[in-house]
Amino acid sequence: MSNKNEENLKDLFERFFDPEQAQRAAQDIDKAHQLFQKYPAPQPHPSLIAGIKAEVKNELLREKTVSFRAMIYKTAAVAAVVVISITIGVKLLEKKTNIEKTVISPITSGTIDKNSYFAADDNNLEILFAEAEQIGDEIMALQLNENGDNEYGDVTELEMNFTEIKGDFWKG
Amino acid sequence: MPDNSDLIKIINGCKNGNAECFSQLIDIYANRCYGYFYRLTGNRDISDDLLSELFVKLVTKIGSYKGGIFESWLFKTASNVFYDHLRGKQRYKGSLAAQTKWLESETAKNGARNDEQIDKVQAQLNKLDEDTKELITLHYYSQLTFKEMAQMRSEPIGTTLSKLHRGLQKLRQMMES
Repeated sequence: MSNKNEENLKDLFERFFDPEQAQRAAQDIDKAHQLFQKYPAPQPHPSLIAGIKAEVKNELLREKTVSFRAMIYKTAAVAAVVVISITIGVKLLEKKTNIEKTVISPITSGTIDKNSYFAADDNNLEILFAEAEQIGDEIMALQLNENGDNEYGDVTELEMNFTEIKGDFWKG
Repeated sequence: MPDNSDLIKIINGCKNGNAECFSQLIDIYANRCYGYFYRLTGNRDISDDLLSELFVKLVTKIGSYKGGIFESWLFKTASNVFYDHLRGKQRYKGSLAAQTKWLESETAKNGARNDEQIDKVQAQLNKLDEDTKELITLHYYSQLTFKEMAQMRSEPIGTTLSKLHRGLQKLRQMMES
């Protein structure tokens, strides 16, 4: 078996040894090479080579199956991640929409709808509320002196109404 | 031996899982790798197993070859296969020393059974220490340059040269005596 760097041996050894030593080293290596050529190692049997080729073919098939399976698993994993992400995304979007709906109708004094607040309440409370509103209107009217000279009579009537409402309220 | 561009094509084919390219690669390197294993073990059966293991391992390992001297990479892998085998035997036998002795005794037994199987070089190589034996075998069968060998063994080129020279000198003296 010839060695591709055989020719440069002497030059190479001269970089590390003195010229005489380098020459001896190169000669030793040459002689060792001759020994290896004189006593070559046995060659692999053709049936061994054929067996190795068959084994390699099987291994390649196995490898392809494994990589195909790995690809399927990867695809399935990616698909699962996508489905989960989409589900989470949709849920989050729904939540966000609900929050936005709540934000759209903020609770302010101007938007308090008495019906929505009192619809579920007792009817008496609704009546009370209407009466209170009526009284409020009457007070306004008094303040504006809409009823002319009869202000004392009105006040008395108003007081009577108040007393009546108070009584009704505590009666339940 | 194919030229470099053909070898690159074959290696790329192997990387793509082409069985024909693997077949070509086996044809190119089987003899040299077998010689390497045989000189290290002195045993045909073990060499058969190691050669088979090497090429089967290449199926999964070839992807890790990222260019450079292919022989260097291949013989590094072969060296790993050999040392894995030694370690496996070490676990089995109890110690590396026991394994070496076992290998030597197997070699001697084989020699006693059939002298033709164990040549003179093999008999003398077995007397050298593992590292020197591996260096000489690697130098002869891998056909790597000294620089490439030094890089593969992660040591300065001067160290590789002097170790190899001392080993070959010893081998020659033993052969002549």
